[in-house]
Amino acid sequence: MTAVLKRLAAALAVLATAGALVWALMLLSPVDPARQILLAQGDPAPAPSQVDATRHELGLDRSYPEQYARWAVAALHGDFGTSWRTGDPVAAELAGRLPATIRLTLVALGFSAVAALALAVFGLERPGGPADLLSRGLVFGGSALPVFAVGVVILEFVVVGAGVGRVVADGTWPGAVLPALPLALGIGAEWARVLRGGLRDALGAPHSETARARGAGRLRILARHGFPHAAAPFLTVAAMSAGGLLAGAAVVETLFTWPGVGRLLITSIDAGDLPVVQAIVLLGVLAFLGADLLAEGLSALIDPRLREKR
Amino acid sequence: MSRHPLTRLALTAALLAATLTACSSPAEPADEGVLRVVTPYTIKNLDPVQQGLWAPEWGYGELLMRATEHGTVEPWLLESIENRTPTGWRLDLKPGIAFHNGHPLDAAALAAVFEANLAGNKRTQSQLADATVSADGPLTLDVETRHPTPNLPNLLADEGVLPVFDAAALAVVADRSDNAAVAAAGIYTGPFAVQSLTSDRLTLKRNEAYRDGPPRLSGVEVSFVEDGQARVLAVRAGEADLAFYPPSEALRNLGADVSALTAAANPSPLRGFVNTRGPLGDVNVRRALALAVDYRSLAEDAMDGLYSAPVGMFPASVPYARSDLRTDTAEAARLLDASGWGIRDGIRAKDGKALTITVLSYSSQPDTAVIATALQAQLSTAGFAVEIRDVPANYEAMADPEGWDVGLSFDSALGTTYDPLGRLHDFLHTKGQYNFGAVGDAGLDGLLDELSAAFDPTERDRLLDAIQQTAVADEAYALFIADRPVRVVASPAYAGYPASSVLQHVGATTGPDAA
Repeated sequence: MTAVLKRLAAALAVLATAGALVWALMLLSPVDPARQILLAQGDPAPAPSQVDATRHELGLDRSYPEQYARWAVAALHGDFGTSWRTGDPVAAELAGRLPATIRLTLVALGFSAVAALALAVFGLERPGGPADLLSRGLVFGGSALPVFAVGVVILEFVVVGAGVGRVVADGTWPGAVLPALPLALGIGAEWARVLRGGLRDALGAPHSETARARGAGRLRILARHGFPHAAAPFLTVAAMSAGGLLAGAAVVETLFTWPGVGRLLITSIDAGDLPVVQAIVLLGVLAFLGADLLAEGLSALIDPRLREKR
Repeated sequence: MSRHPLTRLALTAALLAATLTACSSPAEPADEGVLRVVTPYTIKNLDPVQQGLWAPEWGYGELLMRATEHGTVEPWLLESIENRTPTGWRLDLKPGIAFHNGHPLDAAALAAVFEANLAGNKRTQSQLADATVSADGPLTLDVETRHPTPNLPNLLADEGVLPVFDAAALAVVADRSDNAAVAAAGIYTGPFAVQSLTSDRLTLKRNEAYRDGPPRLSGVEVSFVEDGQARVLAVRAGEADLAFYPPSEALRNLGADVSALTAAANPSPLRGFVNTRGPLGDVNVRRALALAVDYRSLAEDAMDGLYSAPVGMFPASVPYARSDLRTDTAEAARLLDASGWGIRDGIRAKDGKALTITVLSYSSQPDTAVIATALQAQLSTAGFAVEIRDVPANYEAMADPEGWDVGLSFDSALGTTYDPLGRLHDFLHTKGQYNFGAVGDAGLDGLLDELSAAFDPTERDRLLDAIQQTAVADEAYALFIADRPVRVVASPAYAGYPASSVLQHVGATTGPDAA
């Protein structure tokens, strides 16, 4: 129990530090938020008096500690201010994009899991055999190929060439399949590498030899000894991937015009829309921390050695 | 099938993945009567005061006047417009015009349009402040402006100044941000009516009761896609018929399966705002800068022929255009010598200070970065040391007096309504709203003020000639760097689509193979 509380406290400390750093970005920005919001609201050259009034309205004429305190309290309530690009509330923009990102994340994770499982167990029984070499080659290739390049190839040859899928993604479940492929390729390969290593260690361990000598089948050994043994490192890597995807797969979302958080991040960086960037960065930190805590919990459930360590 | 259970497990997983991939959503089948376009600009809502400018572009609204491809403005919803006194105008509406809800557009409804825009539309307030209107017959409206407004016909053709809508019907809509409610109110005129508006797409349906007869198309779908490459790919993949605002990079590598259509007139000019506070405060340096630019090379080499070289401040298609731009590096050198900028190690310098200028490009227009780099190379041969600064928003950066000398900006001196008055004043008058470079020239101010009150076309042409002479040839207060033609990428079915340079993309006659 104490360990859990300590872990939660550490996560909160990370979140608070990230929040402070993210807020400090505002101080480094050369853009005047008040002027930028007025520009976004359709006034191409706002008068100085309007800028001053908006600055006052935003509380930008207060001391830095006071500004930070106001920002932090508002952020805790989910209020990240107004987008400098659109003039709309940041929370509303994120809320509109998050469902699409969650869909893409889940489909990509599903593909990754299937690919990782396939690549991890394919040829596992005969190290050095053709199946093993093929599997290792695919893992290497999947890790080495840039997501961007795979996405471009899919768009050019699958979507435009073969007429499968859509260029202008609609954010739906079926629409997530093609954008998820380049993501799943890299992630699945990484997962497969970790899973395969863990399984190989487990299958070569004395307890597996004993089980095999007692007549246990390959699948049973894999299920009873292999996967639990390989679970902890695998779940850690998987959690990192999931956290990253929830913060938005920026390259893929941009390439496939996926209406998610990642594309919003790129658009906002291009436009210098700091409040949106801040919110997405914090969302990413939160996603990483949540996924990490979940992975630790699951690992402890699966692997009794981890419970004992605590 | 393999004997090994693990291999069977792997193959099963691979088969599952392949099945899921096959489930990817296909492109919707094309309905031949529906035009599908992709554009980067999102229509946020249907409130005409906030977002009414989109209505005439996509055919679900019309204006009192409209610009033509021939460099003029002509009546659209109006039958005629007559200037009776320096501040008094008489507007006569065409008979038989109705909003989508069936209500007639008469003088009373038009008076309500003026009043609603004057109350809530910032553009109207800025251009027609304190104007008053009064009906003088069922279809006749008298407009009285505070100051002489010779460009009123152009203002009425500006999509942002006076969107036309049924103000009475809008007034009873409880929430103007409720797109379904505004669409149901049928407040606009035009060949198409709004069926729905979401964050991704505007869907229009044919207005069967349109005064000129039912439009050719049964509907229009306008999808909002920010990414330029994706817009072009959407046409190539058959998901869209027309892609607006294609990026130059996409045009360089356009496939043979689609075509790039170019509007006949009114290209979008890339202007260089000149900051007169730094080294460009010296007229000789400004003129040398303008003479050192190789306009032809910028258009044909740097931009691969996707741009054209400008002739001057205005496009050659308007009668008052002067040809003031030329490249003459020898004269540029003489001017710099005359101002005491000697050359040392290939860079001009005076009093130990190098002739360094900062050129602003901006990220929303990636071509500006390409052109800035080409300018850097060209100007170095004349001894200018050019630094390039890419900024997110150019107006924001130019509003700061420091940190720039030349600010690149796609800004037409004519807008899309062939109205030189407003922009010239904004950019070059001492009190101009966007006089970022602090141009302060009493003579030029006088000419601009005279133009603001000149109704006689001959006198206007004379003043415009004198303004160009001063602002471009004599003083080089602004650079005119390259012209980008309006282009649209079209599917084979729309290879005959007439690209509009005046923002009227869809009309009653729009359709496949339209000539």
